[in-house]
Amino acid sequence: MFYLYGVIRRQAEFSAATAGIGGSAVAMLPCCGLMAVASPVDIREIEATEDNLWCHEHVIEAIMAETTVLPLRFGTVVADAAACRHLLSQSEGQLAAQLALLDGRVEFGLRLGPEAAREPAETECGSATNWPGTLYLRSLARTYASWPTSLDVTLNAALDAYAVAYMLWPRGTPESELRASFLVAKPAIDAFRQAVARLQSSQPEWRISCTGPWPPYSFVESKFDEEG
Amino acid sequence: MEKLPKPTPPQRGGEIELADLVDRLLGKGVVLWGEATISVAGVDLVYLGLKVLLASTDTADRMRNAASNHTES
Repeated sequence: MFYLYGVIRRQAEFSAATAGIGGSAVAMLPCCGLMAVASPVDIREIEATEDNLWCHEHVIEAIMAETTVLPLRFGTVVADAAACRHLLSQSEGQLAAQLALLDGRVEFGLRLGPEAAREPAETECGSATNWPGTLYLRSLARTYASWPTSLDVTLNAALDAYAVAYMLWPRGTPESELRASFLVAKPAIDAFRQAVARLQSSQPEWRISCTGPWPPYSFVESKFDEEG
Repeated sequence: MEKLPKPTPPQRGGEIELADLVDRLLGKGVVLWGEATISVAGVDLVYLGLKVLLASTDTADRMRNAASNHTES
């Protein structure tokens, strides 16, 4: 059986310097114009341990340093190379189109929450105006099931010039941090980070966390229809 | 010149990085159907061994809130 990490364009064989899940060597399984990044595994269900999750990530990052990768969801296991070829061939056109969209681009994750150290006590919420951003975010958290347009506009104004695309994650619970993913061209990474720092500077009542660069997990179609 | 406050620096292996990793690997990425097995699709709570609880961030938020409500009452 093979564990699959991602899909790349078919190219001259190159090896990943990173070991795969369970310590086995990473191999490329070619099909049509594509190759799956894979490593042999003994079991069908790969446990989502912290080590395995990071291993999946590190393999993709190693490939990402060389070429564009479509990251697969964690836990994809195929019976053999033939099964892998079948999977790739049935979605080849859509996979190739996605690869073209993601060329030279990476993902950054942003989390926004009220600055904990400056949160007013619960009883002050009705009258305090010292922390408008905090109150604003709190009221958003209580009121909205999704992101309101005004916050969308603020994020857009601050970061749109440095990102190719962005998406807002659905709110899981009213108390969830607000999350967004940005697709950034590699040459714009520094400028994007500086823009995030400026946004943090202009909104000190927000706590902004920025992670990345990630493989563009949030900017791939998760499911493909079979091509007829 | 005023120094810009930095956003929380992304620490590899830190709590936020791990939460973002879990969100992406278990909730995003291409799903290849057919002969592939997605062993954890749709699962937002995964037990690691006996001691470590790895939760998606929303689940973690719910648990934190439940814990803090419990403490306050």
